Amino acid sequence: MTHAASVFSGYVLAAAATAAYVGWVIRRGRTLGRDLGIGARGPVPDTADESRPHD
Amino acid sequence: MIETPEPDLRQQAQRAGSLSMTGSVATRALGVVAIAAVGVMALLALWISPPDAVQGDSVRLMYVHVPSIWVAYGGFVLTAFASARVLWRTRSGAGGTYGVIADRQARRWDRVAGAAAELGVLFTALTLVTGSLWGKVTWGTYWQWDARLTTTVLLFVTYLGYLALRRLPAESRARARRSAVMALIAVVNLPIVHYSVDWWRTLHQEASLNLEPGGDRNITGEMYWTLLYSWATFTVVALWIGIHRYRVLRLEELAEEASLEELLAQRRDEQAAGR
Repeated sequence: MTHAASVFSGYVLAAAATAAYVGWVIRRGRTLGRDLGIGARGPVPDTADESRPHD
Repeated sequence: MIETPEPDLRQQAQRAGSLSMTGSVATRALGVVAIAAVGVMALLALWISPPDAVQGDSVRLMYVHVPSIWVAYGGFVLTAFASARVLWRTRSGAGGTYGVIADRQARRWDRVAGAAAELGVLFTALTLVTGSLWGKVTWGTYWQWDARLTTTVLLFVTYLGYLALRRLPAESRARARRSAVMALIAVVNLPIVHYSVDWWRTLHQEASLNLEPGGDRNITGEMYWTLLYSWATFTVVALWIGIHRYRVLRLEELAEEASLEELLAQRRDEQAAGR
């Protein structure tokens, strides 16, 4: 492995691992907020069939 | 014991226009600073800082490898401090009730411990991977069971165990207390990792920076300042992620409590129907 290849691999791996972790944290927060009905955009409307008005 | 959802989480997220529940104006600003700092760091580390006289360009891995372990150390020390606070706030006679953590401060410190340990594990993993790549071009091998590398792997595995322990189902108070005890045991390895290069003959080089007063600097000039800047950048990035993770842990607690309440209500309904 050349010096350039090792440096490139190291930086790319570090950036990818950190970005993946950040993505997981944000997605987890979003999912939990939605499940709890306290999302940043307010409670998620219930779109289940039984909640729809009957024709 | 169910607390109503803290309204500040939602208000913070709404103010920041965040899609997640963990964003706020402060974390958004911190995120912008962190990303900009990473950009400048890449410029300094990959272009401006000179290659090493002996190691050539591979020395550029130092700007990720060394700050990673410094931030990991910080995370583990914070975990130990927060764990000590948890044990203190939940000790018998401190007003805690059996089964759940009644004390709000204890819950907060428990979340701090969890978030900091997770970041410590992430940055220790980065240290191991970048060190391995660096070792290949300087030592000719990805791995050697020398004292520094072995104790670092032990540190990594120990904190993985700590995170696994936090996930075991248990009453919140018992879980927080036993995790705290493990964190205080695990942190003992930290000085062993750090001083392993002084205590034993190792393939790994000595500390990159001698922080003792009057000590000789192993690095000077642009390399020195780039290393310090990289450390500051990693610290800001870790702080940014850590705040988000702390808030996610708060949401996880709320979800756990909500599902417990739901189960209890269901059981009460079943009992009422059975009469």
